[in-house]
Amino acid sequence: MRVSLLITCVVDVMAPEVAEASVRLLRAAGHEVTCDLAQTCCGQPAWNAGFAGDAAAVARTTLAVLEGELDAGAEAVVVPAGSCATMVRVFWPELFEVVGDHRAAARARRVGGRTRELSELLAADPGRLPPLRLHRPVPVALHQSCHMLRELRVVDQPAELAGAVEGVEVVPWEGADRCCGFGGTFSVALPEASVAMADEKLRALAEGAPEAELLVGCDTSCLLHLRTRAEATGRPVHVRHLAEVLAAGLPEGAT
Amino acid sequence: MRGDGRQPPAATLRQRTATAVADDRLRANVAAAVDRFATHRQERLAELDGPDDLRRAARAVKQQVVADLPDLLERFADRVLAAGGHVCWAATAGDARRYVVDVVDRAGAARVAKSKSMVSEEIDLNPALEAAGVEVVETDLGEWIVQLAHEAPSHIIAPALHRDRHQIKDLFVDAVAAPATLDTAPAALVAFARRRLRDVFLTADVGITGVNLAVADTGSLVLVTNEGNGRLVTALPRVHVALLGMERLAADWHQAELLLALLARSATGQRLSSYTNVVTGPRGAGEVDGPEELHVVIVDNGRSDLLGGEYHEMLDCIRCGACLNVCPVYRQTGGHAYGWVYPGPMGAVLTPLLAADRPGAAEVAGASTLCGACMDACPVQIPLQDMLLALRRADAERSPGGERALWRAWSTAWSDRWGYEATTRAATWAGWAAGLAGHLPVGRSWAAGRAVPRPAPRRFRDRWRAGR
Amino acid sequence: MTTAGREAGDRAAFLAPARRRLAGGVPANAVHRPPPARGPGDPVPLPRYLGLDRDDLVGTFVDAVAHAEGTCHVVAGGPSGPGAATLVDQLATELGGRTAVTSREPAARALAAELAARGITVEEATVGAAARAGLGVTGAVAAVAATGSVVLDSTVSGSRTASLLPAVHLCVVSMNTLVPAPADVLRPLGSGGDALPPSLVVVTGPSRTGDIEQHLTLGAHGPTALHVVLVTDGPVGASTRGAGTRA
Repeated sequence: MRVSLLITCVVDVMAPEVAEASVRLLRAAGHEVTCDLAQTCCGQPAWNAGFAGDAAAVARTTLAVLEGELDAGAEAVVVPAGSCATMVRVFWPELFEVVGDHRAAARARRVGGRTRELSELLAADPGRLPPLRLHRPVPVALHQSCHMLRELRVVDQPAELAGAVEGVEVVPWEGADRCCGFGGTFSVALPEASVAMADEKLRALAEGAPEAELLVGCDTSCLLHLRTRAEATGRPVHVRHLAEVLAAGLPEGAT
Repeated sequence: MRGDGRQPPAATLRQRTATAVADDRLRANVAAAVDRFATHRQERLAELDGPDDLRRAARAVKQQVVADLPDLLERFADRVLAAGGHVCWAATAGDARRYVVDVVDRAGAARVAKSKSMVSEEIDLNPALEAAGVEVVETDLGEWIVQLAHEAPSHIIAPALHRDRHQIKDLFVDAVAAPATLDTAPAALVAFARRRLRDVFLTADVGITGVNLAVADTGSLVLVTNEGNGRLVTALPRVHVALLGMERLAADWHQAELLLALLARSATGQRLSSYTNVVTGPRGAGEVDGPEELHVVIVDNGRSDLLGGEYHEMLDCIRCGACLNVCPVYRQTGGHAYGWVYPGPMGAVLTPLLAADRPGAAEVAGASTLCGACMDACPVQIPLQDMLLALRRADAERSPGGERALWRAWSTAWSDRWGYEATTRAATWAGWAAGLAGHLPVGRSWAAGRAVPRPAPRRFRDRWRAGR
Repeated sequence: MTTAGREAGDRAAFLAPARRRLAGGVPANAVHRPPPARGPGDPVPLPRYLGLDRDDLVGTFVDAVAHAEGTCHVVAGGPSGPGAATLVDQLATELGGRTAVTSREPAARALAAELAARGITVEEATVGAAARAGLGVTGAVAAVAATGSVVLDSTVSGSRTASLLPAVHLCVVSMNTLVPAPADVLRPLGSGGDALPPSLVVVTGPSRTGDIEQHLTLGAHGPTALHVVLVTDGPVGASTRGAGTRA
């Protein structure tokens, strides 16, 4: 089917390779991928900080873009970020109601209903992907980001997809589902607590999955927060978005 | 705001959390404690058929209770009176304090034994009693410990969980002349406390407790305890004063039984606590013990303000502490960082609401990453995250110009494609590459503990445009 | 019964703000939607315990008492019968020179008499006697299989402190009063028109605290040990109050 990519601002600016990998995967699964660059951001940073008016102003722009994509024939909006997918699907209607824009709330419900986080979409029909294989075995540990886990309830899909890649060994570990401590503006409003939470997570990772070469997740913000903290402590951790791991397993020349 | 040591707290939430997370011993103690509670909770809930259905039903029950609250309170009060008890309608903390001090005074009491009551902390009861010349002794072991240490409780179920055995032994030696040879094994410390506090139970004139759940149909108070102090304090002193938050009701025993089935499991991971004590009126004829007078103080103190509004569901809270035990922020900071009586997620919601007139209350709603673990643990499914967001919106409206202007600038730029493109292109070119980010206040906060990530040289949209 | 002078504060003024705010209706959370509002007569769902074997309530009860750190002794032939003798011998030995107290129930008195026969000084439970004693013997009006609980009724036993002050609590309860779950004891409360006793305590194991490093320590301020004697011949000492027993 035709799917429209919501890049997300963090991926756009900080980790474009994640969106690139996502596109490759979606094409390999037989989907046509469109991307309307009039999109900006889902508005979540301001929403979480309590500035609903500002969040709505930004979200409205992206809402119109995604709506246009659906009107033009896209069947789904795909988001390579759990927290942004949550913002669109779970929180946009409330955001617009809070600022009194009931029409936008209704439009948001429609768009949200067609919005899927990347692993959610791919795992819904895993047979569409070609067999994925890495050149050598790579043990990975998964980080389950909070909104994806508890709001979208996308729980098993990342592990299923990763585990289906030949060569990938998903190492379970205690604390995989605990918050990494990013939390948007929390990371800079209460930085000491934020860093302490990252340290706990990294410690649990080192103890629970010492053999893992990669920390893999579906939210770039979480991964950046953990990677940069690990770097600052002198014990770096290699992070990858799930899309990158899966895309690395695509056959040569597949899209 | 309440601080450690019952003095004004460190000025800001950030300072309090920074102090807390720098204390490795505190963090280790808190993590061990909450992990035990959380694990046992899972085990006990797994013994029930369909625990999430029961939580959903409990939410519906509490919603009904709160919707009917005025009538239920009337029925409850009438039944308490019919059973021979006293009722005080305390709209404010001051009303409650004055009534209790008056009861204690009329009882001629020199000593008051307290079983744990969060409401009593909320209304600052102990200082008022002490000012009236009454000795107040907390008998819940954890509360006694924090009382001796002149601290606020750190957790609503386990008040002293921030202290390990060595710290507690040292406290006993310093504060109540325990022998320096006292063994630090928990059993020995508990035995010491048992011996010391036994005399308090036997000589206190007045016992003060909280109420876990009040049942309107029968005018009953349900006290859920493990140590036995709650029973002793309501069996031995001549007068029993029970402090009841006005929302802590069930209409009938069907509702009460459901809530009690979830309470102990959610709080401590027990099927039932050692003692589920149902108190209905003062002692009866022919009983050799029990209070001659029972006073139920029904406390509002800001709760009724929550009715009918965005925070209405916060009145469903049964004070089990399950949210604390799964909160990743609480895990790092312990309870004192929250600055008042109630810590963790429920405290982050209640403090800005019930302590609204105290400086620094509003920002406690920021002590959360909105991870949602609390909502998954709450036995009555309170939408804590949504209330935290609502509190942040309320706070944003009052916020000083600086932060508001920043968000306005951001939304102005990013609500327009070209503004977004221009700002993000500028960022990729210059800002981080020059280390500029590290000099902005926000950047400094990030860079204090983390490397500053660099933007990619080309954004995704640049690559897409180039024809991928 | 006059309630004059026992109500302080202004009831109407206290409740007025609540009535006012509720009159406008209650908002429903839009994101985490609440369940439908309950109707006045809607039944409250009953918790079901996966470990409860309704065909073997005694076995369930014994396990549950142990889980709660108590000890259950299943005794045939009543508290004076041979089945109880081993336990009574053991308790008498452990008491050493200390005294015991007994509450009013015939079953408690019967078992206390067995202790007296072994040379233990047994007193009627008063506060002073209970404070001195090393053992308190009481009956119970019900036992709950799923949780291993016994239910103490202050008007039946007459003493709260008999089961509370001594370090060891011995509770005699008839199997006729053994019910499956707490709901069987709690839900009928107040429904018969009977007033509740001033104190009804559901006791589940001895007292305990985890306040020191979450380390479970038995025997905080209440008893350190709980022995439940489940008597399989009844109706010895069965309560006239009938709390929890179904017709």
